[in-house]
Amino acid sequence: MRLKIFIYQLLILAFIIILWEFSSKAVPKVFLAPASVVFPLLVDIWLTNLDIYTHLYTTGFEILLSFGLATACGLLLGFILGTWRLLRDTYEPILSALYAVPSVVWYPLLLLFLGLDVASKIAFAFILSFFPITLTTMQGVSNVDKVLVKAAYSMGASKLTVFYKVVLPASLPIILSGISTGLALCVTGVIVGEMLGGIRGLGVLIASAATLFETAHYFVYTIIVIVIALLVNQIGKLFERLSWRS
Amino acid sequence: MRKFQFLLQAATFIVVVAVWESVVSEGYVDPLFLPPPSKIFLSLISISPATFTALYDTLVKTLISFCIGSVAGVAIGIVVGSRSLLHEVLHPYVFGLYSIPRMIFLPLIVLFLGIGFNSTIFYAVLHTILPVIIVVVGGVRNIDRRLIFYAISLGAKGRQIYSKVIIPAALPSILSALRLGIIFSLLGVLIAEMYLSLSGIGFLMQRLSFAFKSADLFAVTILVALVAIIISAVLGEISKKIEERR
Repeated sequence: MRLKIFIYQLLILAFIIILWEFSSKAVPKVFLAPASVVFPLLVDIWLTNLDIYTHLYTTGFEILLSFGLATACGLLLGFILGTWRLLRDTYEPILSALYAVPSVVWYPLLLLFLGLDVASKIAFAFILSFFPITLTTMQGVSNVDKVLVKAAYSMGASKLTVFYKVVLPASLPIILSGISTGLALCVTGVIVGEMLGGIRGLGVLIASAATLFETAHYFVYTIIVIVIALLVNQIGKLFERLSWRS
Repeated sequence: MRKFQFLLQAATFIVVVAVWESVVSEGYVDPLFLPPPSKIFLSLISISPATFTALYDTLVKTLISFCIGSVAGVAIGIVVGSRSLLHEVLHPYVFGLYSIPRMIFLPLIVLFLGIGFNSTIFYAVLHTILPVIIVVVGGVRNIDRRLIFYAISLGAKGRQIYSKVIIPAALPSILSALRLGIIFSLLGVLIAEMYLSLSGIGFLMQRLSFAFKSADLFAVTILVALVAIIISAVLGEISKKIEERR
């Protein structure tokens, strides 16, 4: 059964690549670059064009910084709101409402405040991942079984001990799933931000290659972004699995 | 208790606005970038009819792409969710496509369909369909297997199993998929408009940002955010009513 599924999956992939190859022969070069051109170009750019590394570095830096900031702020606020009932009841509706707003609405404002360089992308990715991290942390902490907490208190545990020994382990799986969502959203945020207006980064490369009708280059950069996104996604899943084991 | 929370929310709002106003009027930040709330309020009450025309344009596009994307997404989700082999085979593709930033495909879509209505709709449909599929598949696969066995043992045939068992049982997840879908299609339309288009509120916002009209941009941002919050709140109420009636 496993093997059968795997073979079907490979067949789909092969079908996509063959379709891509033949359809790109059928339409003008501007629209599609065939796989047989794109993959050699990918290798060529990767080995000879050192520029790609500075763009890669910029994008990676933006992703890591925005993710770090969003995780720190989201965890802090999530823990505060999760343990403090009154604040949660007051601010949860506001946070949920803001979370329902399509995130890209904020981007033109950020572009105006922070300029075209990296700061606006970091801020945008921060906004994207801050909400899911905060809201899931809050839910995870507030949904911890009250009996466990009471039992720990009645056995004489201090507030800090209860937090470390009971609340944190019990809510960890949910919190980590929020963080994993946030990580994926950071990648999306940074790429979207760069494509909508920027100076450096992979998103800028994609947008400018498309504007210049350099379709083969556009495909190469797209593939690089896809690989990065899938890798980051796997890292996020690893996080989640780690917590279930412990 | 609810009254007290409302007071607290109102107090927070007033404090934020007051601090913001004083920070700007004391000259700590340049009003060119961060306009004081009083000026934003003035732009908010004097929003031009052209803005509402653009907003209407965007909402029409959102509705069209939502209808296409959600109908297709729910149909695909039900079929894929109810067939194990299909689900196993397609699962990594759907999740992979979902986890990469979809905006990287936008330049290609624009290349094929041109700037404007068609490419915006296509991109927004792509944006809507994936989360809808994922939520509906999850819902269908969570249906209690026994329900289907009972229906079969009572003599239900293929179509009846879908219309009498699977769809009613998956209704809650279909409703939440639709709620998610409309926000995603609004997001898709806004991204496509901001990236490359000649009409709509996203286009207008990007233009205001590049023209440094910060007070007007703030006003439009608040307007769009409010519209999104109202849409998701109304849909939430509707689906609550439908669930209650069952």
